[in-house]
Amino acid sequence: MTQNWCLVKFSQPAEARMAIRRLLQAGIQPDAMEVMTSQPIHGEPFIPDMKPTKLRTWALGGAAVGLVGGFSLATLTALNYPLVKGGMPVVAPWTVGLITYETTMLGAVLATLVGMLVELRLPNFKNLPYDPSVVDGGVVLAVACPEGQRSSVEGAVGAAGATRVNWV
Amino acid sequence: MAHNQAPISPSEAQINRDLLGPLFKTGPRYYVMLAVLVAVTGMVFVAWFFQLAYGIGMAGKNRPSFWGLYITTFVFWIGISHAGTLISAILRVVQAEWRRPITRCAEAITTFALCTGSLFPIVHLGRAWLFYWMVPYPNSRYLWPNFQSPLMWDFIAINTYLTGSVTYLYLPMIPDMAVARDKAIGWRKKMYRILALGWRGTEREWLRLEKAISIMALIIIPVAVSVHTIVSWDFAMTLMPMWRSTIFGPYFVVGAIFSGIAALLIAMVLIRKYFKLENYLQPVHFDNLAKMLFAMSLLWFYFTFTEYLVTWYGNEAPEMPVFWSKISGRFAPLFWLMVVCNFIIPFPILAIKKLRRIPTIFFASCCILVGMWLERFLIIVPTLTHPFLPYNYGTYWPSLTEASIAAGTLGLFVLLYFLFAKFSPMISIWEYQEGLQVASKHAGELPDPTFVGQTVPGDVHPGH
Repeated sequence: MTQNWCLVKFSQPAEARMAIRRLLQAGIQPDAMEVMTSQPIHGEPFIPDMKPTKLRTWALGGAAVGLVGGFSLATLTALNYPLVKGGMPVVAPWTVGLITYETTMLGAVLATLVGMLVELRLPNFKNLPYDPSVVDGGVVLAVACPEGQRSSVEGAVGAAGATRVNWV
Repeated sequence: MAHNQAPISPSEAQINRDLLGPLFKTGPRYYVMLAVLVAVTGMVFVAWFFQLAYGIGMAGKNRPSFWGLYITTFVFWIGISHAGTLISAILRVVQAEWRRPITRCAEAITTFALCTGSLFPIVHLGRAWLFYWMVPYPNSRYLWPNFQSPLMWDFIAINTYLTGSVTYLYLPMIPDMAVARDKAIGWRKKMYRILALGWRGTEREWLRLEKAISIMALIIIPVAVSVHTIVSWDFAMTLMPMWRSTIFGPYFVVGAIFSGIAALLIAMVLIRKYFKLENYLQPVHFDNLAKMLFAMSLLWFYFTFTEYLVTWYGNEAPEMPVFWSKISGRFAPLFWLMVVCNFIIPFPILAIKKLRRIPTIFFASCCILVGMWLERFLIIVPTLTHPFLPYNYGTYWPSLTEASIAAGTLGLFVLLYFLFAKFSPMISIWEYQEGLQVASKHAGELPDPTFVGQTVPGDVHPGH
């Protein structure tokens, strides 16, 4: 059975939420729906049971890598050529601490960026369902819909107040 | 994909038009300004070329003052860089709603001020082609950089801050690049398509973007503080009169934020005027920032007074010649000009509500930038010309090469900022729209469909 994307435009987030509830009742799976907006909409999530983000873990992991990397860099390179400078110990805790601090932060920064891109699978230049008019306002709901469920999907979104329905 | 005519929200379409307008419309004024900035920036590279060709002697460096305008201007630009990322991050963390139209302007200042400032250590090296020796990489001589040197701390800290600031600038730009992609045509569409990374504005994307931005905001605040503290330690770690100060770290950080806010206000006034963004950058934004600037002016005065009082009271023989050279000696005119620019002029302008208007704030900010540059100069040069042993005393006067490079970097910074403003909206579109949504939610009403920029995020609920 072929599957099409149905792009539905709503003027208000509440209408999109209602449509999603109706579609779930009609048997559409949550992972077959995507909601697009021009800005983050706060409050109740549109699609229930969305996978939570692990960006905090990414950041902490990056920080840990930065910490170990910075500490190793500052200590091992000093030990590699053990020259006393300014009367300080070869491995001076204060200066090793500074370098470690900066590399820890650098690790967290880079890991947060990489984590976000990995979780979102970006960059992604494939032709995914998208309606450019969303940047001018409103809410676009994309529904992956088998051919047989076309009428039930149209019925559900129409009843919720869709202003436009496109099949792609 | 079939596109039917559908009603669109006039408010968001209007915001898109207003904020993307400067990207797609280029008038003759732009090219004239661009030519001027390229010429000024060219001065930097011509002067640098002469210095590379004829040696560091062109910079006029001699005993005892080997740090002059280059390091002064380096510290100045690194200070300016605290405008953006730090202020933007603090305002994000405390959820100050009025931040929304100013964060992009601020974050861009950080990135370009860091790029400009980072040029100076390389220029100052003389043999700039050996700069890579600072990079820690395995090499055939088994030599590594000396991590016990504050200059290496600088290198690592500035690179961390630059990486963090570019990331922090780019993350909130992704949705705006997507809007530009959807509105642009031709080569611009291709460029924005790449920069938008395939952003569609899905719920999943927004959730992760907001999380990433909030994590970045938390990371970048301590990094920013560490950067200018480490810059201050370039001085404080040396045994030089009036440099060995335990308060140098916070003193430098306060000065950096002070000059940073002043630079941000100047940039906002010019952007507002040049891009006709009066509806977005409203007096309330200038007023709020001016109050912050006032607080920083008081803090700066407090730190300066403390620093000089303790030196005077200590009355240590090596420090007093430096002290008196600033208070009543040959650096006194610059010292008192600094006090006038950083405190005497800004104090009434920023403290008295009736005087706190956009033109006067602009004037006060310009004075502060001059004053803060002088402050950096007065920290560096009087100390170097009055080292511990009196027979080493000397004088300093900048050479033409040095002055051209230092002054020309102002052109370089403005050029970078100017070019950036032509390819990215200077006000974050989605954050502004989100602010209107938040404001209308607080007011218990729907967004005004006839919006022409009259509602300012934060106006409705100033407590935020």
